[in-house]
Amino acid sequence: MPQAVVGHSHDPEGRRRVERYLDPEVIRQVERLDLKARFIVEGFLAGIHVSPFQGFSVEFSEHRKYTTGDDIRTVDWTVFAKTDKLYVKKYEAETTMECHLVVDTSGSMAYSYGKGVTKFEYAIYLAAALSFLMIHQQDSVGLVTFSERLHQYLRPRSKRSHLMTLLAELARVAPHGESHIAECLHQTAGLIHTRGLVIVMSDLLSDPEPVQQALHHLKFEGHDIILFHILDHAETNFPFEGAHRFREPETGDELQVDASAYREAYLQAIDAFIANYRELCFQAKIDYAQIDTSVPFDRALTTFLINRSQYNL
Amino acid sequence: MELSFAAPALLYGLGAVSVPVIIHLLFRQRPRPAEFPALRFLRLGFRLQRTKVRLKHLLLLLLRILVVALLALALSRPLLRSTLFAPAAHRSARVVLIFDDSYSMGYRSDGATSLERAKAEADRLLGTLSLGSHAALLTTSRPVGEFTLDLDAVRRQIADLPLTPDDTPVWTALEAGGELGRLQPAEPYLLTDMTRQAWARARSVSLALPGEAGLTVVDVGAAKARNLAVVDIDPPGTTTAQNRTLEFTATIRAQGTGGPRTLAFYLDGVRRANQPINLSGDERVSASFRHTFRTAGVHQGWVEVVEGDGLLADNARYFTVVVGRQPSLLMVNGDPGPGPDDELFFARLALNPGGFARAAPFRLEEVSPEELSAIGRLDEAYQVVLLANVARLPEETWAELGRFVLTGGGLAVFLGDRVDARNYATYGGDLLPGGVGPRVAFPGGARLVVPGFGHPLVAGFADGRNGDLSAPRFTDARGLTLFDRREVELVATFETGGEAGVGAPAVAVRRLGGGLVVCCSTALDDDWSDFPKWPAYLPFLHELTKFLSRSQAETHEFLVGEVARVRLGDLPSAARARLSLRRPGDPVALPVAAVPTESTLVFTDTDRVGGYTIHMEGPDQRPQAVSGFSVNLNPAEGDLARVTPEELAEAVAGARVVRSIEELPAIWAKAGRGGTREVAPWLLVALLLAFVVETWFANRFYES
Repeated sequence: MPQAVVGHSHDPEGRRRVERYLDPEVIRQVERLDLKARFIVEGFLAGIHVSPFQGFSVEFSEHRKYTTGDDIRTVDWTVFAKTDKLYVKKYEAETTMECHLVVDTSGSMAYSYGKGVTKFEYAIYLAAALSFLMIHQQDSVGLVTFSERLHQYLRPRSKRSHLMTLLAELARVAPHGESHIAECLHQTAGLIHTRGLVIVMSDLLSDPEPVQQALHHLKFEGHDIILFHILDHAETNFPFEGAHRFREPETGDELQVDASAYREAYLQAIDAFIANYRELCFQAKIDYAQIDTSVPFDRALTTFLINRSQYNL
Repeated sequence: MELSFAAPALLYGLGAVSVPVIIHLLFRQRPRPAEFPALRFLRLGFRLQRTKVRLKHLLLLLLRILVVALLALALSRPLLRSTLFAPAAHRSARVVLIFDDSYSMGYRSDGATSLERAKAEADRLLGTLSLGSHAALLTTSRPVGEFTLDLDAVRRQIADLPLTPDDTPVWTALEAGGELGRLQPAEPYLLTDMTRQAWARARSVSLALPGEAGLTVVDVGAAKARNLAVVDIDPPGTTTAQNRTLEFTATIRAQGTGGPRTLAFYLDGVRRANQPINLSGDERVSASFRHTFRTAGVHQGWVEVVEGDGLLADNARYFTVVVGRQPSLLMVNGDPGPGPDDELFFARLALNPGGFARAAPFRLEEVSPEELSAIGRLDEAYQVVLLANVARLPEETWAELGRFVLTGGGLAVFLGDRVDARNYATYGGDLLPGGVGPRVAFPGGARLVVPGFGHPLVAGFADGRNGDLSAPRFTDARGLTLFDRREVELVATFETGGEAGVGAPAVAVRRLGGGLVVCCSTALDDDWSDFPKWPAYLPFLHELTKFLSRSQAETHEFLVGEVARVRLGDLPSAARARLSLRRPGDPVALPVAAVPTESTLVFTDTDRVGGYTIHMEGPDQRPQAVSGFSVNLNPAEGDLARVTPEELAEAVAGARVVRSIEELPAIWAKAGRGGTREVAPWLLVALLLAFVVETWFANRFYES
């Protein structure tokens, strides 16, 4: 594990260099998915110099610093003798978690306004980064991809070799097909037998009520759910002006409108849609993060970390 | 309520309302294709907002059409006239001002001339007009004009308007004013003194004016004009010879006034005589003055009513007399002899009755036929040559006589018993008015018959003052067969009871080039008649000489505005190039040029009344007067008789007569005409509001 990942960075310039990897456009330029994941995590960790996450381990080595309350018997005195610093000798995954990444690979996820990062790419990079983060925390990570049906299911593993399997699968998958989110979530609920964390990454551009029911199903099964609602910047701001013929990529439906005339109505509708999910998730105690593809990855990762820390508790 | 437009042509701009519609229909945006996954939310908004958006689009289109329509309407300047509006103290209007600028408008009464009153009324009218009004100024002498927004410029033009001697009736100006108002409604105003002369050659005029805008005639004339005018002087201008006495008879017209007056006769700037006259209202009287012209040259004068009146321009009448030197008469004696036997005995007495050469109207010289042939150039010394019973002359002499006549000389030929007809026919045939025949006898005696006395040679005998030409008896004459030519005139014939003398030519005239030839078929002495013993003999010879020495009639009097054509006589061509003319009131003479082929001066700038003198540069290079003419006012201009309002209303449809512009508002109110208001400002306000609403609506669409 690169040292730069360890703890807090005291090099402000170095921190800034690394933090830029939180920018989706920057990550996009990185060729390999595994590197993308690594850079995202490094950037994220470099930015956490003021850590609100007391009690959460940011070290991925066999040792971690001793904190008040740790079992004195886990202290590695050898390291103490050498360094006069208290380290827990053995990092046990006493907080090991089973996590399922549920990624929407439908056609609508391939959308990007202009030449920016698509929703799918954003979801893939985020999933890769989370996989990287969790495996190095010795959490078990599984993967489910879906569009009109479940395409791939990788069982959760905590081995580092599994990380490459996950990354390979994420790198291979391509967005296509319609979104049958609700059905796929229900199927996912049936697949997962162990309670854990389910991270859903989707644009949720489907009928909300069935999706909401599916989420309730997952919650009912005892899982913690993080819902990353990934939308393109154009979908949240509607920057179009003048006459346009819009085409829905999954169904092929078309609509010709004067975009300027209907902008206000669209924004009202999309805001209501997002607000609806936010309210639902709040009521269901689902962590909800509405992600704009222009938003740096640290926001998503922070949401994950908050949830992860609560999982500890 | 009546709606009209000050600029109706701009209503065609309403066609521009089609532009927003065309843009709306033909230039719609081509929709850009775009993928958009969240179409469901757009569709939701579309369903809810579609009708509302369509209504907004339609409203925007209507607003844009309205903006264009309001702009076109505003530019066409609609005018709303209604009885609800009182005639405004300041109103927008188009007015046509027609000024009568004839001389009669110079009549002064109550401290101002009619023209001055007209200018004041026009200024008052212009004062009632607001910004944006148009005015056009025409005069009866110059009926051209165009509308202008610059009312101050119109005021300045009015202030500088002079009286003109032009006596053009007002019809031309009224018709020009009507033409101006044909395309764009206008109010015509005629400012005139209502004299009949201005409405001469009356005909009805229907001015093409829409609506209620009839002609308003502002009567600025004196209700009761009192005027004396010298309307004629006879002769008005003439050419005469030295030592001749002329009698000038002036005619004075009184209008609305009478009583004793004094008529003064001026010549060469000096009052020469006065004559009292007594007028008894609206009548004409005459008075005469006589003067003997002893000095050659150009003499100019006038006859004037000493006591002034309201119109001074017609109180005097001018004349010009060009007094030539004694014409030189060369008499060729074809039959000399002692005493009464001499062919020229009686003629000599008649042409110089006093025997005083200097005081004689002619300078006489006698020669024999042989001496005539030796003279050479006759025109250098003589104006008239008289052949009295000359038998024959050499060819060269006939040729010289022909040249003499062609260049302006006068030739009198008295036939007698010695005349060689063949010589006359051979060498004088191109000169004489006819061929000379044999002697003709009138056994019972023949008398002269003059048909009509219209010919200038015998015009002086028409009233019998110079004797009776038909009294003498003629016993013989030579036959005279007149040539059938246009330039030959038969002035008198012989008439007897018998066949032989019926209609035989007695006196014939031939015009040849610049000169004249008079041929009398009888003798100059008493061999063939008792004519020398009759009173008419002397004046006949005098008239004959005058006629021959004048050669062509000359006019020396013109009316104002006429083209003056004055014959200059036989001036050296070089001298013609250095002619100058001095107008009345001018301190110096200005160069002029004569028509070279006719020795005539043509002058068009006769706008001033008075004497004009023509000068030639003399040998000492100092100008000397060689001719002149007088310019007088048309006597009709002094006739201040007025037309009545009823006559005027009949002549011009829709005309009304007022004494002042101030009477008009009351007239309009009484006629229910009301006032006029411009609607354009309100339209512009509406346009502005429409534009603001359109802008707000358009931007409302795209509010973030």
